[in-house]
Amino acid sequence: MTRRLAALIPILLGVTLLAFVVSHALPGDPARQYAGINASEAQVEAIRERLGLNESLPVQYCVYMIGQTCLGEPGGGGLIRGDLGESIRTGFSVAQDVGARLPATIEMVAAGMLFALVVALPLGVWAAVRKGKLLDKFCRFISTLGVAVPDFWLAMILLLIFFIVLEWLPGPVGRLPIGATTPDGPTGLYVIDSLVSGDWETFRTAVKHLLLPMVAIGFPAVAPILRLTRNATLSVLNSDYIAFGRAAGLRGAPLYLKYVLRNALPGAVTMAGLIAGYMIGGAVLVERVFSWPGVGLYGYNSLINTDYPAIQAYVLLSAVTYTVVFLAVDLVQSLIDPRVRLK
Amino acid sequence: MSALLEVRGLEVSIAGLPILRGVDMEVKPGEILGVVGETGAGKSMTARSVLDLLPAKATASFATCTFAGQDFIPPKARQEARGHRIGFVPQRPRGSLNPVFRVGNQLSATLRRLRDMGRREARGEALDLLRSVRITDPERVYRSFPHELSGGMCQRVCIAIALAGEPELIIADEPTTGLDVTIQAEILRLLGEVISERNAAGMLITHDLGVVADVCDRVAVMYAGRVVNVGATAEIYRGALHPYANRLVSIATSLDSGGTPREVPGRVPNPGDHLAACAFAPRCFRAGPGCFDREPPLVNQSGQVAFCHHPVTAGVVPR
Repeated sequence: MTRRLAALIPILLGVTLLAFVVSHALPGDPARQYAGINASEAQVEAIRERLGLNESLPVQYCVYMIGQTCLGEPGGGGLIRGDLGESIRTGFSVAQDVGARLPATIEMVAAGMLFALVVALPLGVWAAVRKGKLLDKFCRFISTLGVAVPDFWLAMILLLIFFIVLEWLPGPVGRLPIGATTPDGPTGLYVIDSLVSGDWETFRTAVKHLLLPMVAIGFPAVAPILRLTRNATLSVLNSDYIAFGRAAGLRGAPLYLKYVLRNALPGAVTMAGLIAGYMIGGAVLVERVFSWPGVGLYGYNSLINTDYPAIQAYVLLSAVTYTVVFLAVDLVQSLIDPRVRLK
Repeated sequence: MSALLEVRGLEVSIAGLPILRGVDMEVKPGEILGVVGETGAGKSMTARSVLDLLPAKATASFATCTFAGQDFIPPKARQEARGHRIGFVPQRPRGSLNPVFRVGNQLSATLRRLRDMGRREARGEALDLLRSVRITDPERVYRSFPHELSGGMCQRVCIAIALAGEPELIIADEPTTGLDVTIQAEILRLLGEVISERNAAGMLITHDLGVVADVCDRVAVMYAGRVVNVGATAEIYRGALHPYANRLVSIATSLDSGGTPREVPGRVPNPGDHLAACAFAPRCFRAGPGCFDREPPLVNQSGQVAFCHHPVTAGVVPR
């Protein structure tokens, strides 16, 4: 485990370099964006100087990584001290900006993944058991639909049905109604925080706001997980231990949901990990539709404003997220199957 | 004495191909019946039919199927007997235990399911069962995963699981397949012991006649989806009536005495092959013209039953 964590360091260093180069290669001038359209050339130049954009690229990267020490000046900063820099666009520290938005994305992606798993795992097992029957065909239809339907489009259709026509669920105003007090709590996930503090009213509201984004981001993940679970289940059903389990009187739900599913899970978990990493990066469109104040939207706004530190932080965050998710996947695998041991 | 399990006219076909062509078989209370024959003779299919555990594409029909007087033709009756009334010992024991659960967990889950036990009670009973299959350190085995145990140990655990529901009949389907030769005899002796300790009956499927001589009271010899010869083990060894059974015994005994056995020429027919009236006729050293187009008659002689036009009445035919 420690060795795997150590192996991450060169990977993440490479990611910082890549993120730096790519963001600086983007067209656009952050100094001009920052100064506004009415600023004079001298003002823009002054800002450029203050942001350190007149230094050569290697020096800028050095400053980004190890702070002002790179220029022989006093003062800390730099990525190695955990300083992600200051956003050119918002003027706040990037860490603060991201920290404020990350829980929103995590809440949405976690809920979406939970939704996908709760739907796809039992359906996948069931489709395998009823192979070739109506239910199996229905699942195939759902899978095709899940692949074919873009999440942002689904988001708008869901809004149309449940907000505009049926008026069952709130509109695209973010995580809580405008003006509502946000629940205090350690996680920043409103559903969890309000539940922990016993604030039922906020809990209900937060859940209502979460439902549509959850389905919109989770539904496309149903298809691959369902297919994988179905195929894994088919091979498990042919195994000797299922035959023996049946011969020992095991049948029905305990057979399928405990004995079979546990053995069919590993592939689905790996797939879910891949998708979860992808979801965090791909959340931007769904966040946009629901005005969900998450990191995807932040990354998008940083990108169109050539906000170098924020873009770099966003790319780095994506990379870290992937590695954390994959570590979690390995951990879960070893819990599911005792033959998998963490090195 | 009336039979514990009685099967008459069992026919099974897979995807339209006949696998079993009218199997008659019975197991009496307290006896161990050996079922022998080459691969593809239909031994396992017969056992699986009794538990309604045939492959998905197979269809089975019985003329008669009773278990302790109860009609076993409805599939539901056979399904409900699994574990409760009929215990099953599998081939390939290592692959037959679920790889992701501790074996103790699998055993006590079986006890809770079959005998409505609570957690603690099931654990105690599971350890007792492990002891009863001669496992000397049941606590360690209870905590182990299947991949941490040897094949022989896994088979002991499977036997314990088969015994968990206190069944009246234990069917063992080639229980020593995939085990080291050194422990095969041990496992078979153990099976014989646990069955007789419980006053249960057994059906031991194997292609090894040497095994049968040690453990079984009676033997049924199968060929191409039918039982061709049944009799007390001693009688079959003294001289099986059916030429096929006779030749199998001669092979087994000559192997035991270190001689070179004379093989049975030809090969086992595949499902769907055109069969003569006596399916063994093309390979038989006693076959005459009648064997190919007239159904072989039932011969009941010296405690054996065989289906043959030219039964062997002179003991084991020398090689």
